[in-house]
Amino acid sequence: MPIVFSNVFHCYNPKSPYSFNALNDINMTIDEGKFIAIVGRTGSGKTTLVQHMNALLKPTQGKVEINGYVNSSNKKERTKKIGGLRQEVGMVFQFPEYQLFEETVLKDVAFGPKNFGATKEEAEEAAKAAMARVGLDESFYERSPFQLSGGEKRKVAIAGILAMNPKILVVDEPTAGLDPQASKDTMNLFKEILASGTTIILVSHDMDIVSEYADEVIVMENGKVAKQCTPEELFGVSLSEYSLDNPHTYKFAEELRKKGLNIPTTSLKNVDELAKAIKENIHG
Amino acid sequence: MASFALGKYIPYKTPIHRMDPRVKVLGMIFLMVAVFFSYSTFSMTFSVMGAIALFIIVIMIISKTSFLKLLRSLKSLWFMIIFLLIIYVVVPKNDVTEMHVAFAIKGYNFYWESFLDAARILLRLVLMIGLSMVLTATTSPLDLTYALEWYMTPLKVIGFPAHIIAMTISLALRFIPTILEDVNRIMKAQTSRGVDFEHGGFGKKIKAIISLIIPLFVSAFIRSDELANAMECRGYDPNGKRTKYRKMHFKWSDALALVVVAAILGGCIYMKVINFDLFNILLGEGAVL
Ligand SMILES: Nc1ncnc2c1ncn2[C@@H]1O[C@H](COP(=O)(O)OP(=O)(O)OP(=O)(O)O)[C@@H](O)[C@H]1O
Ligand SMILES: [Mg+2]
Repeated sequence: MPIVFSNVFHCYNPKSPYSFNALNDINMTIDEGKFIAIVGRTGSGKTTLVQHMNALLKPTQGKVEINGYVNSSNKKERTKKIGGLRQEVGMVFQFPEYQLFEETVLKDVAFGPKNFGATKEEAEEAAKAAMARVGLDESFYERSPFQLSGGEKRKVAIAGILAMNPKILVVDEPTAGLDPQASKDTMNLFKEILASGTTIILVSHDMDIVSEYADEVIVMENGKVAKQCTPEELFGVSLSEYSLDNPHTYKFAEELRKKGLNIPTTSLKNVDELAKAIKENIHG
Repeated sequence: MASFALGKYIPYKTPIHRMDPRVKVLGMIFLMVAVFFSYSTFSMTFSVMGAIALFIIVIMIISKTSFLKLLRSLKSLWFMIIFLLIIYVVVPKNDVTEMHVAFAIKGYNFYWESFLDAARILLRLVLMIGLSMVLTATTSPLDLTYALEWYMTPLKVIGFPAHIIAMTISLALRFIPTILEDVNRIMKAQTSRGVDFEHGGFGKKIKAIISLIIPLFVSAFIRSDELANAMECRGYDPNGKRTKYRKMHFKWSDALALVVVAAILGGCIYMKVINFDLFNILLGEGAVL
């Protein structure tokens, strides 16, 4: 199920001195089953954009269509019972650790499914499965969510969304503040979820992550979509105008090319591929 | 959350915004006192209150304070208002000889005076809210605390910790928008997990509110802890002698405003004390109401 934005505007605090246009005429289509990265400088409207995808925000103009649900500024067009959309589009926030509140981790993870009508048993079943996916073992079930480390809290929050079994998973800077191993684990988890048929929409500043995982990149700039393309098409062009940097593999390959090695630059997704390219170039 | 009772500071550049915050605080207190008086007759009371209301409306227009917000904050008080009205109208009065029966149901009398009393209370409430809205919408929280601190300064002589109180107030005010932001963010996060804050029965509502309150407290504690540490790291000493970055200036226009407001209050006190009745004078002795 694609997500279609048509002429979407969003204004915070309209009709007041604080009024601010965070989105300006967004038109785009996001295909299903892909790993989409949304990048752009701080304040460019990424969070605002993704919050339209499960109707947390309503457009001030225009509409967003998601799998039969319509999130529109027009009351007549807008789907009446839009709550169900939130189960289909799971959203993990920038600092998800601030949403935990139950006494035990298991209860907190089971909270989402219960809200969408699962029985207690079904919800716990889903919660246990989700916790296993994010790598939280049984010893966590009865612990208090407030006594966990930041990274563990993050995992609990992600599990809480996964337990709802969403068809689209939106994650807003999930790796900020995690150690390298934890962020790698998190990204690999998203890759697995993608393989099971879920669309992943990831907001990130980290171009290394974008180059390694994303099928498609959306570049936001001043509330507009400045570019929608594959990572390969994006790297190499002047990224600095969007306050973005090329990934390390690209920079390294570029330096090697300058030194006379004939290797590709934009198609290298990670260090492994870079190493292979270098090896082939030297031996072949 | 948008209908936060007293509204918040809106940085327009109007003469009211530019006024010395000390004058604004005092002026508001003067007008509130004037609103609280009752005069010799209901018609006098309502005329004076009407005149003050007109004055407040003019101030609201000058300061670009939104009438819509005033209405909205009344909307959130509707329950209290209805309750008040019912109490005033229904509760039996002990001195009914001077009162006029409006209608009777099954032998129980309802008096015109009860309705007028209720209307007076309602009008007072509206004017009070309007006044405090003007103050908070035109004065930044920081200026407001400076003004309060200034008024508390004489108490320092008897060892009253004026500065600490002012700092506490300004920190509390400073955190209101932050906490509202937190509320917003947590509500969004829980909405994403299927919580419905608007619909649902009593049990669901309770659960929804718990899912908001607990994370809110957690983040408030974390924030206050961080703030306390940050202040200590920068060498904040609550008992230290302080200087000010921004000075308050008392201008001619402030003096003028103060005189106007004081005159209004003075006039009201005078009318109250001598039991002044304009209608009696105009219409001659014996006119009722
Ligand atoms: N609740 C709000 N009220 C007013 N303005 C807001 C609000 N939320 C965001 N904005 C403004 O809208 C713009 C876009 O914000 P948004 O959060 O979408 O940016 P972002 O791209 O996610 O940034 P970041 O990378 O820092 O997360 C920013 O300039 C911000 O100041
Ligand atoms: Mg953001």
